Amino acid sequence: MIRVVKASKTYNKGKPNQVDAVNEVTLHVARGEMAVIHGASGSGKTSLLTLIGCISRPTSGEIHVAGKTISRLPEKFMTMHRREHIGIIFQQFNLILDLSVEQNVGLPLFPLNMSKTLISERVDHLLAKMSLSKRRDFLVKQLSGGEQQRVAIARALINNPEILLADEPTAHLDTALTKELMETLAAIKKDARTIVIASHDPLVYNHPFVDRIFEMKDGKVVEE
Amino acid sequence: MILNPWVISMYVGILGMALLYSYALTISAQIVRYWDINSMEEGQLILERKSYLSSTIIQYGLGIEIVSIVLFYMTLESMAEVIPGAMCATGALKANMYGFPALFLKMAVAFVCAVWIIIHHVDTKLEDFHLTRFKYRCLFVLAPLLLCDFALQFLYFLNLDPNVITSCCGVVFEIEGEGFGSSVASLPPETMMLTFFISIPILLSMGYFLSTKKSPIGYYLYSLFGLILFVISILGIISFVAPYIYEMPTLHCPLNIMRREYHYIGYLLYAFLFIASFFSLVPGLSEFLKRKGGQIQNVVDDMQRKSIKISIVFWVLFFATSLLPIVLFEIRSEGGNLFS
Ligand SMILES: Nc1ncnc2c1ncn2[C@@H]1O[C@H](COP(=O)(O)OP(=O)(O)O)[C@@H](O)[C@H]1O
Ligand SMILES: [Mg+2]
Repeated sequence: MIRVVKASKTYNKGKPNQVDAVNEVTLHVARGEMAVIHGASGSGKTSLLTLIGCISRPTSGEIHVAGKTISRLPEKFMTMHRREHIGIIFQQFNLILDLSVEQNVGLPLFPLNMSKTLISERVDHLLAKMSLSKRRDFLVKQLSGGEQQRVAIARALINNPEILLADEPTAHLDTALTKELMETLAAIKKDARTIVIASHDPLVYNHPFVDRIFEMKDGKVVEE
Repeated sequence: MILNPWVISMYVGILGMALLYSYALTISAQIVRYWDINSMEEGQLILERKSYLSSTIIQYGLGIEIVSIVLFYMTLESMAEVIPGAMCATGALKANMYGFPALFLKMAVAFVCAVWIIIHHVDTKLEDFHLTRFKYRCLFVLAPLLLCDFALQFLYFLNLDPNVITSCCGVVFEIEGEGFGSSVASLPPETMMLTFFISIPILLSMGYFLSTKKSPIGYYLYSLFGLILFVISILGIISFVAPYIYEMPTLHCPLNIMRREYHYIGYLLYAFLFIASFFSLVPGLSEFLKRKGGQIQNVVDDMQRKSIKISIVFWVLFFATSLLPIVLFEIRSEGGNLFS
């Protein structure tokens, strides 16, 4: 499902402030697996996720995601591929605080010319799954951290992606909420979705549902 | 020199297009020179973004260039009131030696612009930028044509002299007269009508054949036939459609039919004709692009089928619109013959 071959991402190449954020990383995650990328802050986890998530392009190497080689794809087609196959939960949630829960969750579907009723049906379904039905018309800024986290997950799942990427999803959660989140992700995994989580939280990488752990250090995967 | 709001906006338009096109050429030069599809460097990524933005702008610029034929016509109409003896756009064109060449070149340029837009359209659907460099190279080929187009228009407007008496379209398209207009006008209308209306079943059967079967030669022939039909149509309009619209066997002017007195039917005719010709070009041109390999094949097949359908719809609309004044005349005159 995800195959990364000797992929590198260098920022500011050739300048004095050059950073090899991802350095010849090779990894493989099969369909339906849950993988964790573990590593200290600054080790390149986010950069690697953006490569897999069709958000940025590698400086060298190959990346195959959901049946397509994306490492040399024009940005327009990367966006299309992302919309179709990938859901992303960002570290900062990236929710729009002044929009309602419903609007936030439905947002990724707007560019797809979907009918309002269909969008609304899908949103309903996901909000019920995330136990957010009662918060439907709340503004996101009125929600607690845990609720915002679930809104972010619901939004990532709205396009019914085969692959779910999460960047430090527990950074703002306490122990109880972290455990709850892992249960939710485990349930999502059961739908045969592939999940990749970047995290240095033991509650995450020690979870029994995790199939693979990649240890990152200075842009390299040093251990699987 | 004559100045009115139309002419001034024409100057501004030409200047604007020239500026836009210079910008396009600088981007093109960068892309032709530095484009490296295998590079993953930041520079290439920046180039791709630039290309994405600039080709979109260029596409609209060239689209405007095509539509500016209408503006050119309207400007001519506005001048016809000022130039002694002109009375209509044809007369205004005739006012100096640059008029008709400017119009013809504008039409030719419009077709070349259309070709570029089609190439660009195919390129945007390719995941490997297969045509990007090629399409920017083509801009350099288009440049001298556009330059001539701008120059001729400039020269035409600059050399308009309100003190020189010109001739009106009645003379330009006079049957016994000399020159291109007259020779077209004196073509036998019956033969022209036959040629014109025999093209419909030919075109329809070609379209039907190509919708059931893929044939590379067929696509080329279809586009070629589209071009021929474009010429036949223009000749047909001069030869008999216009006289039927005016209900005067001796009036052949192909421009006055756009006037209000004739319910702007000319605009409709030319719009249908240009759109039909445009989409007729697609099958052959995309067949040519297929030879460039890559993923073009998959993208183009669908385009060919669609554009044939669209072109047939517009050809039928065009023929129906040309037929309309003839039918109306026949009804009114109870089966009379305009040309006898
Ligand atoms: N857009 C960027 N421009 C320049 N350097 C960056 C950029 N994004 C990240 N980096 C650098 O790349 C390295 C890896 O960052 P990141 O992928 O965010 O690591 P992590 O998510 O593991 O904390 C860090 O040194 C960071 O400063
Ligand atoms: Mg990070």
